[in-house]
Amino acid sequence: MRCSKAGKYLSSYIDHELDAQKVVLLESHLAQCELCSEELEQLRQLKGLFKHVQSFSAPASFRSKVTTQLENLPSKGFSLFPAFIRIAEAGAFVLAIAAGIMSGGMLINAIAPQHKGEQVMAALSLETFEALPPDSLGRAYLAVMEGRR
Amino acid sequence: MHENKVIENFINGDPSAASALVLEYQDRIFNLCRYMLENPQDAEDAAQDTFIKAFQSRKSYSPDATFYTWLYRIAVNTCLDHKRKFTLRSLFLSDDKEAHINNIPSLAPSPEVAYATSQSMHALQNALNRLSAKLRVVIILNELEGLSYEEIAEVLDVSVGTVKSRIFRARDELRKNMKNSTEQK
Repeated sequence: MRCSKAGKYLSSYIDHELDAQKVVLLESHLAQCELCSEELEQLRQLKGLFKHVQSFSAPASFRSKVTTQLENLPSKGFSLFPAFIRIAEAGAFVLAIAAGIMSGGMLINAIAPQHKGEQVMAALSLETFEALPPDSLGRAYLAVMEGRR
Repeated sequence: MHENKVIENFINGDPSAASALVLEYQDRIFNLCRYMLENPQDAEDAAQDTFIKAFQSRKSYSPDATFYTWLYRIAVNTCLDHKRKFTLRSLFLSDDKEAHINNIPSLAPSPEVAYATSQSMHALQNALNRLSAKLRVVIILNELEGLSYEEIAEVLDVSVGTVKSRIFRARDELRKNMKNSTEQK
């Protein structure tokens, strides 16, 4: 193992996070390399400093503050009742639309049921076509032109 | 009551289970926030926010991960959010920046630590404060919270290889910064 590779493994080695095979290779290298051994010692000293670091404890009132905030959170629990109301509202809306369509159709049939077919036929028939309706500008123009002849 | 049962009750929204978990983890979460954020009040706010967010997102907890790595993840993200807000605020309010510098907490060595070690720890404190958030968090989780590389990877949602790389870089920077700090004296 070369120093460039050994150097990268030292950090994991002191944390006991290096796999067994690499540990064997690294320790074999360290036994022969003073430079890497010195670097390992520096890393151990650095790690050792952290052992003297004081841990901070949460303030005495911390738990009660958090508990109070949790109690004041708005509840977001799922309730079946509002969902049922929404479904009922949607259903009522659809029924209203359908009722409107049906009653509109029934109203048309009620007003002029007997003329309905005749009106359709009249609309489709070419005999009812008038190129120049009586009150149209075209009819008036023709009348004027015929009068000049 | 076994912790798994407490966690189950917590997920179901039981307030007493939530309170029990706060009692169990408040020191660890507060310690993490204390070292991530320089202001003691910010650290307490972030720690409180962590538990509130955990309760609000409790349905997202999966038993595939351990509870405390899930909680640590929320804490780390909350601290990073606080840091971002402070950075934006300090761009416009110089007073906040000065207050921030004055409030940098010390690593607070135990009283029985020898003078030489105390000096080294002072250098370590300065070097740690100069680390980027990305490198600082892995060192704090590993050295101060005692998490394994795999657990850190779970907290940060990165690979174990990334954790190894960041710890390697963090220690390298710490040593360089401490050496520069010693040479300047």
